[in-house]
Amino acid sequence: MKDGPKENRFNEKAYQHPHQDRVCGYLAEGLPCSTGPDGQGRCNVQSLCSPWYDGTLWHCTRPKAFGNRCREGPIPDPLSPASAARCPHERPPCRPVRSLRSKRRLVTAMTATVALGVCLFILGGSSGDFSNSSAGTTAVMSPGPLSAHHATVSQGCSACHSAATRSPLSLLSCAFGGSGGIRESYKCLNCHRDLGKHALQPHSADPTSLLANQQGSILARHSATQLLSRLLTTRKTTESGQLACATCHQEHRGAAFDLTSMTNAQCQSCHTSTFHSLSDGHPEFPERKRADLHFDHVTHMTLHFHSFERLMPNGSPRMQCSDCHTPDSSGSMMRLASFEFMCASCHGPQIRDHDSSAPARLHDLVFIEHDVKRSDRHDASPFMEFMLGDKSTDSRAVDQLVKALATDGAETVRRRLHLICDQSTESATIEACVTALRESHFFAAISAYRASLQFRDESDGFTYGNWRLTIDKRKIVYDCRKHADPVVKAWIDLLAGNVRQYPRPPATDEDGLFDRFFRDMIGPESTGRCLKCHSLDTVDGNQLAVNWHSQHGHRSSESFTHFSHKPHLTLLSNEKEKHAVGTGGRCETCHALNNHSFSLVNQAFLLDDGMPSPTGSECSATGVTSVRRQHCARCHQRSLAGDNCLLCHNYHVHKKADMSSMP
Amino acid sequence: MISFATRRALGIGLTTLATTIVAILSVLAQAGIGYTAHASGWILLGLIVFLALYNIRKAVPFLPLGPSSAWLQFHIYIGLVTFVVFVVHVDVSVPNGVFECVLTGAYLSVFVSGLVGLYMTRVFPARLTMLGNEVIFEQIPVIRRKLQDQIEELVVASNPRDGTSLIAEFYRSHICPFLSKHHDLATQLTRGTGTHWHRLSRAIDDQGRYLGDEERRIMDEVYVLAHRKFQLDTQYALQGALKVWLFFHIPATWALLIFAVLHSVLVHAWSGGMS
Repeated sequence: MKDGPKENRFNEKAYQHPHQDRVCGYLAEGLPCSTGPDGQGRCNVQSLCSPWYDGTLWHCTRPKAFGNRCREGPIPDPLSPASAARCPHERPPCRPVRSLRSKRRLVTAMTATVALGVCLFILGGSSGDFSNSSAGTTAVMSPGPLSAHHATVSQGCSACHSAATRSPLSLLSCAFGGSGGIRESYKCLNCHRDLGKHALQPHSADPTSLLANQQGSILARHSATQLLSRLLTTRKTTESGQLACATCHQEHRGAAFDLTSMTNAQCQSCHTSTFHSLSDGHPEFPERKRADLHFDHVTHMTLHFHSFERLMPNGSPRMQCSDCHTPDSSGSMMRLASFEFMCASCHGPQIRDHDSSAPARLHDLVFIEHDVKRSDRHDASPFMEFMLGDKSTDSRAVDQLVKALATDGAETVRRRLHLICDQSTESATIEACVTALRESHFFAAISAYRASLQFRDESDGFTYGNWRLTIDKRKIVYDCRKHADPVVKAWIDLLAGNVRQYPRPPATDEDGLFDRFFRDMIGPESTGRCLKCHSLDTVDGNQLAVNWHSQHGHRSSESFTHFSHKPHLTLLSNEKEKHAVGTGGRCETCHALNNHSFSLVNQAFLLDDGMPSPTGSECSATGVTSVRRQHCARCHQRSLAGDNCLLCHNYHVHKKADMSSMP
Repeated sequence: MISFATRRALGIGLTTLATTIVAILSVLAQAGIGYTAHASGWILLGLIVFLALYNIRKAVPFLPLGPSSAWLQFHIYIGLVTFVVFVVHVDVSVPNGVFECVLTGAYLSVFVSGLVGLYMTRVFPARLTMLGNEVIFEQIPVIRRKLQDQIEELVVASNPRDGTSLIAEFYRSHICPFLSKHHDLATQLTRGTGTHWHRLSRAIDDQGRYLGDEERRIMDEVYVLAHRKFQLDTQYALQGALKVWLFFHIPATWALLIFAVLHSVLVHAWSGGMS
């Protein structure tokens, strides 16, 4: 017997619980209980009604949620009606089913699990297992097709990506650490070996040379657009100043994608000075570097070529640009014709014929001068002074020098040069001097000279090759009779590398020895007058060098710019386009003659004593104005011939642009 | 309290503004060098995480995180903005790796399912309101059962003692199959009448000529109840669609998040790291 009906307050208001994981199994039939399953998802139906016996009758205790007390009431157990009764509405317990929300959570969990599985598969695929298989990794993970140039890389992803050989667990450290792409860039250099030793520095250039090229203020002057673009892109250089290749060359954009294409804005995103276009704001082109060879086009074309018959009766004037300037095999650079073709018809006789109307040789190049009677030994020939050093220049000393040169000449000269030349002088330079003397029969001439002295020869001197004993038998002089004379050239090279006082007046002591000899060979009246045309440059700070060959038409191995004449010459051959270019479409369109530069004297010979200047500030005039920006901007505008930076600029400065591939 | 029109205008305006800003930034980013996709990728991931937080916001209504309606507005408009960021991020290119294809597919699945959900949540509630009485989706089986019970009571009441009632026969042959399950769910989503209901209502009309006055009155009541069943089917179809689309949208979102996180790690690892 119970004390009273047990209160059973299951969900009296039949409130719906959509957040419950499970719902009554009879819901689909439209007959759910109001309570639903318990917290563990079990059916509550068996505890819904617990019949209460009051000592006389059994009473229903069904909660309100299940329809409240039933009219029938419990049915007593026939065997023991006072001790047990059962609910007449009792039904079998249901099998609770998942609620809609629970099913959604289940689907979500299953999807997430599948996604994680896919991720594990991907990570497995990105590990070293696939590193040797280009097909394997590419099939699993690739943001896009490779460019045609890289599509045939056979090592797979590991050829370019160091992460391809890393374990999946180390990918996190690789992602949040790494080298900023520098390690990958070194992989690029495994194939691209022609980028020089500063390959990963900006422009693949020596950082110090970049700083030297930086003009004006180093303060950034970026537009708002560029500042924003910098914020939106990843940091470019590492702390060491290196720049990952992929900063500019971004792969996986398809076979036809041009990895080297860059917009003007992209180029300027690094530069401190920015501008709008070639025609608007681009810095003016630098003035032409002093020419290696002095040739005043204005003077020749307006004066000499029109009145050459009197002084140069056999001359052949070259009136057309193309007479001397011809394109190379690729058509990009304009080569100079040879001296023999361009100059020899007029200037050859000047060098060759001493009795010509305008001889190149104005005074003898004396090597041996016997019986110097003057008190100052520096009045002796520079070569003798050079060979004798501190010794006296009296007859005995000269005799000893002549004897030494006659018996063991080459070795005597070689030993002396090694003794007095600067340590930086290369043996090849010294050997060139000795060889030039030997091959020009200098030592044979010395031997003959010595014999004539010993045997009191009464002849009027003699000639050995270009060596000549003067009639008074006191001097052995060298007659330079051809252009690019090896003796003159070799000795000027040796002396230029050892002078230390030029262009200041040379000291009168031992220190000025090289400078005196050098001045003797390059002066305005010297034999050959080489530096009338060939300019003198300072190299390595304190040495001089003569520009024997013009760099005209030779491409520098390191250059920020490139230019091809080929498309421009093609343009000039088309009458319609010639008109578009204007000014008749000739070479002078860009290379205009500077009529103000008319000068009969090489402007480099402006020092007070008439010696050529080795400084770069004084130009060996060409009579042609430097190409200016507006010359190019006339056509190179965005809507015309294009004004992309890379049309003229090399990014990798060491790399020679392949002009032959240009249109 | 701002009006609905103002709110929508504000939302569309801000979305257009954000889209314009993203487009401008993407153009600006092209002016620089380096991986612009890194910036757009992180922005995209951040937006997706924010969108996913809406689901968590609904799970913790007790936290003071602002009204759910405001979250929904942000969810919709930011979701639209993500598509622009996505297009900028992939640079309108097609990946050729399995993982990238899966990732792209996951995003597009979430975005498209979101658009479908947006359409349904804007159109279906109005149709449900037009149906009249509010019905709880989980109670639809119960209501259907009650309707069935009521019809059966009418049929039993119409049954003469000889058991030759036309209504009982009609119930067995036509009405009972109609009540047994939900019909024409797809057609009802698209405002279709439904073949089954159309056939039943015509059969009820046809049956009227054979019935007496009392039977016709009962049949009219059966017709009303059967029509409620038809409306209940409409409720079931519309509300079911409103719930079922989430079965696609939410799981796809979680998959997208997982793929996106892995994608971020892989991208930075394979491009040399973030240092």
